[in-house]
Amino acid sequence: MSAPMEKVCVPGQRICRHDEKVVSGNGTYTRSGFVYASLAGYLTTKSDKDQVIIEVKTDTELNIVPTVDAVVTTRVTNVNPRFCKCSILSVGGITLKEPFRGLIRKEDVRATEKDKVEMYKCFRPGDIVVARVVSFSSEYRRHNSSFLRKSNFLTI
Amino acid sequence: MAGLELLSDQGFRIDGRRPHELRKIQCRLGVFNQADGSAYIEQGNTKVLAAVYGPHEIRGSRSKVLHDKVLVNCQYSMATFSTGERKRRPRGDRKSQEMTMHLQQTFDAAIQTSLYPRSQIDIFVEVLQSDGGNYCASVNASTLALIDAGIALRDYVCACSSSFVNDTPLTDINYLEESSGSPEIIAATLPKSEQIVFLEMNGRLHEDNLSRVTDMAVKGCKDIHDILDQVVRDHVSEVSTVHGWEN
Repeated sequence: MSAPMEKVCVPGQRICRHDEKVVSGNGTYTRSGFVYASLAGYLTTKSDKDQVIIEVKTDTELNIVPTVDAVVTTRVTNVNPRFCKCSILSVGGITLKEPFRGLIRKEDVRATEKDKVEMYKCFRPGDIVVARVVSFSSEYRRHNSSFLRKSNFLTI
Repeated sequence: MAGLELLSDQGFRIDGRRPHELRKIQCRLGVFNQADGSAYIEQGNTKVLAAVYGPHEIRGSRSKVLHDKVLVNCQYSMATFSTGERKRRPRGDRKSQEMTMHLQQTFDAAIQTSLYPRSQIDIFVEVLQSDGGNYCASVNASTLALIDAGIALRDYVCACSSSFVNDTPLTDINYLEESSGSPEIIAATLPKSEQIVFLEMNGRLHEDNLSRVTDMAVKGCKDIHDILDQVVRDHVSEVSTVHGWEN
């Protein structure tokens, strides 16, 4: 599928014209009809159906931040009746260098019988939870936490 | 001007450069292991270290969180031994605070801030030796460090200063030229798109000459960009050969 090309790209470098057949992927951005690189690395192209995805790959692991809808792996640090706090260890299979804080609310633990959830029976500190980021709180008391919905749950 | 001629009759400056010549630039990427990205730059006798951490979760006060973009946090400090006279406070004095603000504004414009919402990027800049053009060297070093950290930038940010002596614009001025009382223009640009992200002027300069001096600074930025570009390309191919990443 992917054919790596031996081409070094640097930020601000114009890669190609942007049209409906070209999709700008990781490490690129579009401005006024052109695709530009935003990272220093190697140019790679992938073809997806009739479109071409252009990406700039770097040789080091980048720091990433959790986004809404991302699947994250977390460790539970603190449980109380309304929510449990956890630290996000990895996002979509990429391990974070340092954890982000997250929050699993009681209402988000499962889809049915939400009011019957008992947090103490669901989580213990130290549990590893795979979850999906539901939203970033803006008006909730803990401003820096992401709400998580449990999708799968393992106990170690 | 008794004894000290900033521009000789033959058209040479105090350090032997022509008016349009930059000082010698040497730089290196990835000088620290601890930081996510780091760089060291020498522009003549001005030497600057920059380290970048992040993007990571916001530290300290929760109220600083920006929901749609990243918080760029800078800290500019000058080593106590960096100037001719030993400095009392390496950071936190008025001049450093101003410089910190300027760096922050500059990089807010250059980083693709909306890619990293609700997080923070730290840029630490340390001037080891100061011989004029501290802002410029700091910006150039930070750009390299950000590239090393793999943070998405719209373009390089390159900064250069210029002055105006004997009806001639001078580029990349050193400490002597800076402190002689002649006007000084500092510009930071995105060289590929030719956008100016920061422009500062000290001293008095006639309006008629403004565009000439500004053009000189912008031209200097482009020259610096060519140098930095080569260094980054070399660094990328070098690192990938070490990792056996090529082919």
